[in-house]
Amino acid sequence: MPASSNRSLLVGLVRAASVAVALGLPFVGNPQPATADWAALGALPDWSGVWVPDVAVQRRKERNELPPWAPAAKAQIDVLFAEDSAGRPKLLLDHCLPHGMPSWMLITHNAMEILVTPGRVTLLGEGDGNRLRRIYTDGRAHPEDPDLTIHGHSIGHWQGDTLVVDTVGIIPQSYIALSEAVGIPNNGHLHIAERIRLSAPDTLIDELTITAPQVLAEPWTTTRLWVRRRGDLYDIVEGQCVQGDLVEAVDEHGNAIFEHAPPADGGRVPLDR
Amino acid sequence: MKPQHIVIAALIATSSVAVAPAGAHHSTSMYDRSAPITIEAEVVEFRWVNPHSYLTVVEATVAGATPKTWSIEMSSPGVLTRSGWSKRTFNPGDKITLTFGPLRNGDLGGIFLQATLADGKIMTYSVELPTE
Repeated sequence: MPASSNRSLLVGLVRAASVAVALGLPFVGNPQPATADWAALGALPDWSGVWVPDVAVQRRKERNELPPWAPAAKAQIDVLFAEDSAGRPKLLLDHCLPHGMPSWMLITHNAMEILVTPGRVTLLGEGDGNRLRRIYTDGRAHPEDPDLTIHGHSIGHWQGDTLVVDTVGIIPQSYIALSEAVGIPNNGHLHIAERIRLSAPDTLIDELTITAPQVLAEPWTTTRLWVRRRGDLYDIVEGQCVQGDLVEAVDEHGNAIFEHAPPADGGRVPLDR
Repeated sequence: MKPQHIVIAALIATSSVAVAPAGAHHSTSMYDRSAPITIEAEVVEFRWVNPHSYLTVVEATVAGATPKTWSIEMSSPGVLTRSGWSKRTFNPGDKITLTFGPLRNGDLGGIFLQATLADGKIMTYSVELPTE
């Protein structure tokens, strides 16, 4: 089947799901894929391999492409920049939770890989233990009242070779961060629209439009780049952040276990672990 | 765990085998990269752990002086692997020449910049993409 036919088929399947909803039929997510659904993936752009963030671009934009902060947020950000420059960085991410959205896309130093399967695009990140985004492309809508999560609820669809993603349901504590020392919690009602596509054979561009009415005066559109690397040198390395706060030990039975690291001050475990 | 805690924990622990935690993602501006220190040192421990690996070393000093124990932080195993490192890059007892950006507060900690191994191999890393 020619590629264009496959793409039409894929679009048709998504439309069928939408039509089913429009007709009042119950939409059931995660439908069982048919052979044609797997075959249709071959018409989509190839996003295999390992994607390494372009940190140089991140660092350039950290100072030169600032979000349209609301005044109260801007005042806080100015202090954070000054503190970081003075060698007193605020440790935004010292809790070992995932960076969350949108910070993962904006500031991570770690690679990711992308799995495209029928009805889903899955981003698997390196680090944090559970750095993972599920983008549903099976035609579903957002839940009416989603449970709030660090990465939010994402739905997407393909527009030609561009994956268009819409994300809501993100916890208010998730940072809009420019670096690991400069950022502010979104404080609620965050919405992120993304357009992800190849801008060159081995370059992925993510254009994000971030709407955060509690901290941004207006929606902020920015881009970040990811560069493809192949070869096993770039395999994703499992990275469990909290493992760094534990130490290997042996219990009374001789079992290999983890223990909490000894407190730095000889007293209780530090609050920031 | 904050970098200052890492240093303190490392100092507590270095009488036996160091057990300092590596801590979470964080900025590194508490380190002064503009005033690097280079020392001759012996590796006490190399913790190949997320999110930041770190090296505990004892600085070679003149006779009679108390040897300084430094805790030197670096990136994650994923980033380091792509720069040619492995968990066996440093081993206890290795003699190295180590360059690091020290903590601005004067504690015995720093951010890794470069090490020369006994065989002359120079280890560095970057979170930015290598040019191909």
